[in-house]
Amino acid sequence: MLNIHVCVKQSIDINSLEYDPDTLRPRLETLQFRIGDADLCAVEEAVRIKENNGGKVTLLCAGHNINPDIIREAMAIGADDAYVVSDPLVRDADQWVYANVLAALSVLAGQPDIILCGESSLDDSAYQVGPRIAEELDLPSITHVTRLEVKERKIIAERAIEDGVEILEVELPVVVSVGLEINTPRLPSLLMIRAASRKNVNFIPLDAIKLPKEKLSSLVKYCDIKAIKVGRKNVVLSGSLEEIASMLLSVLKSDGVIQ
Amino acid sequence: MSSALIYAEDWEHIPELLSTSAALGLSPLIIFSHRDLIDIKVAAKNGASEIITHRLEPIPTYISRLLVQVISERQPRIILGEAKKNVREIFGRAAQRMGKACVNNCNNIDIAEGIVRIIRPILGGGYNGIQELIGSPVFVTIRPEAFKKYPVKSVEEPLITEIDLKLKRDSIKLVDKKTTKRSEVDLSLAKVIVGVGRGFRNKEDLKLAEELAELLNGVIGCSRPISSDLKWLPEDRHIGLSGKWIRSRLYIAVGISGQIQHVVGIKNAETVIAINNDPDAPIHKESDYSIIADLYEFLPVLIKKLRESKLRSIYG
Ligand SMILES: Cc1cc2nc3c(=O)[nH]c(=O)nc-3n(C[C@H](O)[C@H](O)[C@H](O)COP(=O)(O)OP(=O)(O)OC[C@H]3O[C@@H](n4cnc5c(N)ncnc54)[C@H](O)[C@@H]3O)c2cc1C
Ligand SMILES: Nc1ncnc2c1ncn2[C@@H]1O[C@H](COP(=O)(O)O)[C@@H](O)[C@H]1O
Repeated sequence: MLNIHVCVKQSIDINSLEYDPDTLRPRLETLQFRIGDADLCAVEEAVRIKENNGGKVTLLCAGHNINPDIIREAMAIGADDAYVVSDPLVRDADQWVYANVLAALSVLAGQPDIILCGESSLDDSAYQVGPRIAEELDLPSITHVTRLEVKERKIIAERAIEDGVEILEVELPVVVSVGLEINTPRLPSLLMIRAASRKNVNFIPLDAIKLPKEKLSSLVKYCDIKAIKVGRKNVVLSGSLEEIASMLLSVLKSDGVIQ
Repeated sequence: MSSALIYAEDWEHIPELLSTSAALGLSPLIIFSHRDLIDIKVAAKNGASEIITHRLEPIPTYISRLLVQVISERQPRIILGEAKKNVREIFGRAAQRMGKACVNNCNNIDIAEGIVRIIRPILGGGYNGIQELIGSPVFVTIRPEAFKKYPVKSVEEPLITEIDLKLKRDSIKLVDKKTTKRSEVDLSLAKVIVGVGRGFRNKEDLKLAEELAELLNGVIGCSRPISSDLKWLPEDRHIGLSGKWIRSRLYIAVGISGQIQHVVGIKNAETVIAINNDPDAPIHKESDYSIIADLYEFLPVLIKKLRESKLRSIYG
């Protein structure tokens, strides 16, 4: 019986986000939220570990205005319950604050054997909440894991780094950050979605995790957010394949790439 | 003056990390690195006054503890490193231990009136996040694009100090490591790049793209699934948020859908051409010229035409 915690962030859906063409700032009225891809891979991996070894999967989430239905979408993959802190004080938090809240939530949810995270969040791409939680709880961490196997009280993990692949053996408990390559999250069936709608999302008041004030104040502050705009010509070349190929060659020629 | 501590995972970019630190007005410049990696000449020439060495295996959990010890002794203003996987993990852990700010993959860093400000890609890479870091020290990993050039005064002979860690190190074991050979080409310097995506059905079919690249004296790049999932190409050929950022004269995206995380890597390419049979693929909006066609039909026609023409790439 393994106790598995998975951190899932209610992230800004980057695909529906639009920006104001004049100020280049994101248009707040286009804000929508979802769980990030890497986080969903982490949930899928947890469910597979549970299927192979027995155990329980608990989702952890920290933020503000958390929508329980978004959490339930991730639960439909096969998680058993969820612990959520949703509080204005955790609004605009940085990874220091998120990690402090998540570590405390994990303690509250009870003795994990494995804590899973995504390698980076969909909106912030900070690449650090996993290692930060590990440090906070004094646990070993591994990041960018692309294959995971649990053997007795150990995991054997494959880790993709810039110049190759490492195989690591780590004693439980451990914090693992997974890469997108580790699996393809299943699409929950209607039955699983219906089952998830009855599952428990525990909203935990911030007071209940008793964090000192300094652990709730961000150290990284946004001053501005601006879209990176590149003016492209957006010309569609059309005609027969032969014609298009000829057009392309003249484009390359006038561009000075070929002569 | 406040000092900079540079953590070096390898020594490829040590000169640039030193000159970036100097450009920020930081001094002395101290390097923290594995004993077997250090190159005293490079350090001296680029102004490092001290090298602190360790002998730990490359396991971030352990290295971060040693780093915390070094920081507590030397009290640097900034801990700087290249944006690499191990470095980000080491910095994240050390920052948490010390209750400090950490930011990764920065494209710019400045200190004005004592405040560290950075710019880094957020929201999939479609946006620049401009952020201020509170407190001291702060941990920053930067992308090679952010290196600053600055004339540094060389040092006669850097001081070398070895430090050791007396802690239990048995919960994590590096059992094996398979090193993949690096590509001979550095994509971020290439002038002509043909990018391949999941529109290709087999590894063998990449020949079509290779042929086109060869005719244009260019090289092959790819989307992340091609290198990281399918392993058809080495990891250092993938372009985008988690890969290379290119600055080529010409980029031809073939069978690539154009998700934000890929497109961030091609924003600095001069001319972008897309070949994709789906008229609604987002890559068309990110291109100068779009060709809505099946790559299997179009590439052979293009290659034949290019071969028959007297036109040759100017990049010989
Ligand atoms: C945190 C994070 C980081 C990421 N980092 C990166 C990154 O650095 N780089 C990166 O590339 N991705 C990255 N991704 C993944 C990214 O979101 C996309 O999944 C990926 O870029 C898609 O690759 P693709 O375009 O090759 O495949 P697909 O999206 O599957 O697109 C294939 C395209 O080929 C076209 N096609 C199919 N058949 C043909 C044909 N016969 N002829 C012509 N066209 C055809 C299709 O119309 C389609 O548009 C990241 C994702 C996340 C969540
Ligand atoms: N507020 C949060 N709530 C739950 N999980 C989070 C939160 N922030 C980050 N995570 C987890 O940590 C991973 C890395 O996030 P980041 O450090 O922001 O890139 C994500 O993929 C999530 O698994």
